[in-house]
Amino acid sequence: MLFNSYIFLLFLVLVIPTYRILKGRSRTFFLLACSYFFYGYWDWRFCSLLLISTVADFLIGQRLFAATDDRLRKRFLWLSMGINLGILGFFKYFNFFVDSFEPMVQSLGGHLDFLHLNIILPVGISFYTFQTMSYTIDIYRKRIEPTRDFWSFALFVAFFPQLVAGPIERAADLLPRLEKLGLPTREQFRQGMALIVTGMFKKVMLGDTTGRLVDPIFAQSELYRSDELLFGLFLFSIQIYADFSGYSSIARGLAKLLGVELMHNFQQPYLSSNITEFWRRWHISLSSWLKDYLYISLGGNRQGTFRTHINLMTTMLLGGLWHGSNWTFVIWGGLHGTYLILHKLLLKGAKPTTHFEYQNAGQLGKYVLKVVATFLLVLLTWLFFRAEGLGQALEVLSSFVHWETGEFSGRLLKIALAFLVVTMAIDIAEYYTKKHTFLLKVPNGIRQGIMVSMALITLLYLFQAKPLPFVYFQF
Amino acid sequence: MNILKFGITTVVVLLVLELFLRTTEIAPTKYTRIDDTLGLVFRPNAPLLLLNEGFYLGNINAAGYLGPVRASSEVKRVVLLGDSYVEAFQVFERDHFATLTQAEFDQKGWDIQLENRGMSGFDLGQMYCRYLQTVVETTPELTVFFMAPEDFAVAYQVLSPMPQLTPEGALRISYPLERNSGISIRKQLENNFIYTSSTFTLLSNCRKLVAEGQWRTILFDKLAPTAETVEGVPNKETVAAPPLSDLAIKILEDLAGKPIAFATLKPYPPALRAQLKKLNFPIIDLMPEVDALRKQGIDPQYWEATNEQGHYNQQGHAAISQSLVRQLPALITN
Repeated sequence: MLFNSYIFLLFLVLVIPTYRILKGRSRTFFLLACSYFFYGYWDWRFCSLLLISTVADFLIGQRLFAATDDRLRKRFLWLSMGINLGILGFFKYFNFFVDSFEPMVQSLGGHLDFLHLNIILPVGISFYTFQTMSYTIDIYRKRIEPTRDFWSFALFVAFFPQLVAGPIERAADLLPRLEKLGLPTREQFRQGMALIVTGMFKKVMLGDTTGRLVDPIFAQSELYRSDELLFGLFLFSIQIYADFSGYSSIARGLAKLLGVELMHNFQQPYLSSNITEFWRRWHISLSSWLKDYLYISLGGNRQGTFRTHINLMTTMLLGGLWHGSNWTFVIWGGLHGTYLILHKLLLKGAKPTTHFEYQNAGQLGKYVLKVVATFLLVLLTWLFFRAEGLGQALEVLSSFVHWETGEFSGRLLKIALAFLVVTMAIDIAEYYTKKHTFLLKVPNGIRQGIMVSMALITLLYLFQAKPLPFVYFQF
Repeated sequence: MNILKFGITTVVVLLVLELFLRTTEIAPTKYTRIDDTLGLVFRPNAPLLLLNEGFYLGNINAAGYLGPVRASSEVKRVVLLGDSYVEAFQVFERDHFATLTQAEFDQKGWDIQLENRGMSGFDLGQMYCRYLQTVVETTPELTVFFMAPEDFAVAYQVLSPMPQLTPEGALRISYPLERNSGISIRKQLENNFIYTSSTFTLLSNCRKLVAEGQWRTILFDKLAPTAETVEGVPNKETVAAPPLSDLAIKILEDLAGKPIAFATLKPYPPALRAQLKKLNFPIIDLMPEVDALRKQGIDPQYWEATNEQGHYNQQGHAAISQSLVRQLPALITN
């Protein structure tokens, strides 16, 4: 079920009031049933994967905690990793590895065609797999104790607001909240509504609309001129941000309506003045997961400069691969890894800027230049992220070198600027107020006017345009 | 005070969003309007950004049709009439078969100019009216009616002129205003108010979807009643071509002797082909080049971005163009 669909809004109209009527333990069972219905709406067979992850990690978590022998504890950890990564690897990477090894096998006279399977990727599998893995790893690291409440743990794995595209929560944060489900406070309800309205606007009016323009361009990029390809790439940078941050806002808003707090996933990343800051603001739940469970496990920055850079690059490459089984994602991760290493070298141990505070016009000008430069670096990486394959990415790059202008340059520029202005207006309001619920800072009547107008246009547009799935559902 | 603030803010934000919708062209204002005598026409100079199957970005020209305005009287003009397959709001103008054919003619130094007057939904009745009302007087060398077999059925049109047979069996054009005086108010409202605003166009689109019964699927998705219970307009592509009606025969007889050819991408039934031959209409068979594409494993009607079958894609247009380049010059010379 897509958040940006009327069927989901109807689902919500039933779920929220019913949840408010229910008391105590029945809330857990009800939300669990709703979450499985929400996930099973795509394909009920995938619910079995959720169940396998849930049962396996619940049982392993308890055994792991009870075990005192280090070797036994390690075995339980590897068992959990094996199950979770096994499911993920099979559904997501099986064909990728078959494809990647095929040329080598062919050169030896063999073939791997028989290994190709028609595998459907379960929605959001990377998200809930990483979430359950963090539970077991945290028990292994003795950061948390396993829960004895199976139903709350099942809800932790399947909680519908963040099940299919995050934020990837940690058990230490989310589990206690789900174990003590309560009603939302008045403030949570107000915040939830504001987040849902702005999130839906971002997703439907910015993410989906840009996506509709981007898709045909990348489906047949050979038909388009350089300026049109650049337009497509630029709009994709808006699409992926509006789509994902919109989704995250809706997810946080929905959770608030159920009295549950979720972590921030985006903090206006395109206003970052350097690449390190960008990664502190972009897909925060994944980048912090990779930092905690991969980068630090590899040794982090404790083993000298060279090893730090290797660890950083490894983390970014695997982070790229997490997004999908395609070499373009590996290059995307590699580019970001390179940027981060270069930035570390440039900083020479100094701390990177993390927030801009206005002092004077000159300093604002410098900040804007840095933001534009950072954005251009990120834009290049989006080409590899969006391209259908490495060949297409290189063709588009070549088209930028051998520039050819089409007949609609001015018009495309106008459209791109309009999207940029609206996206940035929302971001600047969030940046300035340091809140995604910036609308709550506005006086009552005005706030309601803004929210009603945004909701009205969003719902009208949604009614006459087929909803587009979230970009990150495929990951 | 709060209600006043709410009201003013709502209006202001809606106006800002209207500006956003227009500038980004994601919900453009209507590019057509209803004319008293011509029925549905394009608004001259209207910008268009459409995402039907493919991606179309362009403009209606100042004369109210597609492609560049060609005013020279020194050249042989060929007018293309047809439905959405000729209008082709799925590909950029530069990939349209008319543009590709024109480029080929220009390269060969032939003084032939094509005018694309295709319009979505047009059948024989509307093409006939449009031909008499706007094309004949411009005396083109040739007019090509792009028609699939099913387009020879003349459907009733509420807002367009349509040919009718009088009780005496004569052919005449009846105009929407004489059939229904209420149309005037609706037309005025749509032309001057609703279709000049993106927000109202969005509202109007939603109203149409509700009227067509599609609201069930939009609201309830997979849980909506099955398609059989939803009233819908039958897709003319899937309806077998009916035998020619008396009205269609009369229209064809009236057009006989004029410089007109029929072009098709689907085989005409033998009876229809015989009727057209009897009236000495040349038939431009566009299928060989398109079929050759299919034999190469290229589907000329497949759209990768939407994963849909539909109108002709860029490769299909190129094949149609090759076909026209091969067949059109002979018809003009003759």
